[in-house]
Amino acid sequence: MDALLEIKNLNIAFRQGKGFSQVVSGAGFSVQPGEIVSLVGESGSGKSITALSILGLLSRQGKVTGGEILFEGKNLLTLSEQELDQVRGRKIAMIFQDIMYSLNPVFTIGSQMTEGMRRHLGYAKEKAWQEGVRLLQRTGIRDAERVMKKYPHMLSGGMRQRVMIAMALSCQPRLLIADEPTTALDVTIQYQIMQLLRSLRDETGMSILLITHDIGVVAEMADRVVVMYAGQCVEEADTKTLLSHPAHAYTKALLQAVPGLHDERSRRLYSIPGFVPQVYGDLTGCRFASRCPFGESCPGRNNEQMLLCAPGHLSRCVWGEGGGAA
Amino acid sequence: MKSKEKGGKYRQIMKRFCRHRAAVVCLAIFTVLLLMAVLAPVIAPYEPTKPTGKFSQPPSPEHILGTDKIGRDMYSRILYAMRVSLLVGFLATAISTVIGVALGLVSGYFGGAVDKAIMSFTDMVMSFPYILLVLVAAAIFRPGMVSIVLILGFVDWPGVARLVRGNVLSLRETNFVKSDIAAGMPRRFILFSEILPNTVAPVLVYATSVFALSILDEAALSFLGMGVQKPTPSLGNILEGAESLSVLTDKPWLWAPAGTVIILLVVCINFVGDALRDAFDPRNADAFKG
Repeated sequence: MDALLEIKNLNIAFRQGKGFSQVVSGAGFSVQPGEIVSLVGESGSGKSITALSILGLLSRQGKVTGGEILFEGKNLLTLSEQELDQVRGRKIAMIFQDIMYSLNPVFTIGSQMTEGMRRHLGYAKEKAWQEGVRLLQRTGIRDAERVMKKYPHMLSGGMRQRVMIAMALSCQPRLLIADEPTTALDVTIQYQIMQLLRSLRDETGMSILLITHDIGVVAEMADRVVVMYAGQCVEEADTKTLLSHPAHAYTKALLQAVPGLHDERSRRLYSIPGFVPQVYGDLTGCRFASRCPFGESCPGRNNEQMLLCAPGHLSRCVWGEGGGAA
Repeated sequence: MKSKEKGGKYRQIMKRFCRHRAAVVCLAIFTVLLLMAVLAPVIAPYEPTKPTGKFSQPPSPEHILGTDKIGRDMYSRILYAMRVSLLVGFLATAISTVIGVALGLVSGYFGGAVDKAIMSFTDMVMSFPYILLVLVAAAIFRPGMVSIVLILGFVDWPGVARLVRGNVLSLRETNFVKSDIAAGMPRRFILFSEILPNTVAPVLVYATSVFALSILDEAALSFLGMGVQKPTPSLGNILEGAESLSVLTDKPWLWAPAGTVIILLVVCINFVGDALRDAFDPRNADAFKG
């Protein structure tokens, strides 16, 4: 099966002073049709930037300096703005983290929901409206007819995110990019939204690229996981393997830092020592080395490549102790 | 909560506006003045440009505000003068708002070299001594109502342009604009149908103060003889009579009513503008919910 989305050796740099500083280097992964792939990493690891670059949404300071983003075999980076507009919304839709300003405050939900369908699918006003109501109902909003007539500020955060999802689905995209869709919501709503996304995937067969820093969400949702650290993809595996047999020292540390329900009270929550390097474009070798528990003696210090640990399991690091970092 | 259910956004804005008692009173006064101006041909007892009585008469039953130096009815003249002044103020505001919004949108949205060029030009226009520029322009072009409208219109826009640019800059970074781009909406749609409506409220508020300023500027220019030319009455050129000390001290009916009308208009417009700003401010909406 051909991948729906394939990112190859992607480099992104941001203008800093007079020069450019690289924030994503050599990122690469793929999303199969109908698959939920999760992109995990700390703040500043380059995961959101990677996602934004897929739809050409980098801010003016950002620039893709190399690599390919293939969607249905076409390189999105070479498309003109007009050609890109044919992909945006219709084939790839995106939902954002910040639910406060994701909807235009001066228009009703209905007018914002129907706009895209009328433009992309050529629906008449009436049909778009009915479809909008149907979509809202599908995302679990009960009095959809009334919500269509409301303004964004009259809705709760969870409702707004449901509206955003409904809007994203309105043109039946093949790929949904969800950039931390539940970060601003409380845990119960978070769970409901995730369930919703999953059942929508099962129903429509679309793929989802889920960007998150929440390992719990990953375990719940993803078929496959890509871990990013300091602008690089450091490990990629199916969710089960990654959670049970992480290869990269960073992934191991990350998993250890998740608080467990059955932890003893006395256990101190593990945290990774040190900080993500601020400027990492010029680093060579292992970028995690400065924080790595295996430190100086690690034979992988100078490794620059993804290595194959098992079929479908790639990692930049295969050293360290077998089972877990501890 | 109930009002949120039934009332749309505009109902809420109205409600918040009405909490400003002074603004409501001002709006009423302004409406009355506006009606008097619009209905001037119907309610004015005499022709505003023809002598109809003895000159420089104090108020009397025939001429309730007296007559001017050449015997024209002051009340009729003031009614017509309000028409002229309000019209000049309105048109000048309209012109400067259109120019300012257009330049601000382009500047804020496209950024880069276009932005730099437009903003440098804006700073240039702003740095000219304002009244001097207007005077010179009025002297070069034939003074009159059309030229004063154009002059004021082309001098007042920088404030609006800056305001709109600032708004667009922050709106451009909001997620609903990013969502629109992500949804493949054309730039034209985003600029005019998504960003522009979000700048209407601040522009409207700003326009009220430009409106008040334009009325004052028209009065100043006409007072100096560079504005609306006689015999067409305007609030400014009626005040011209107050240039002589004897008129100022002995014949207050020649200038006090016109002066009062100017003050009333400007104060009322500014109060209404203030209340509008509060009414549009979403932070007040939150206070309202509580």
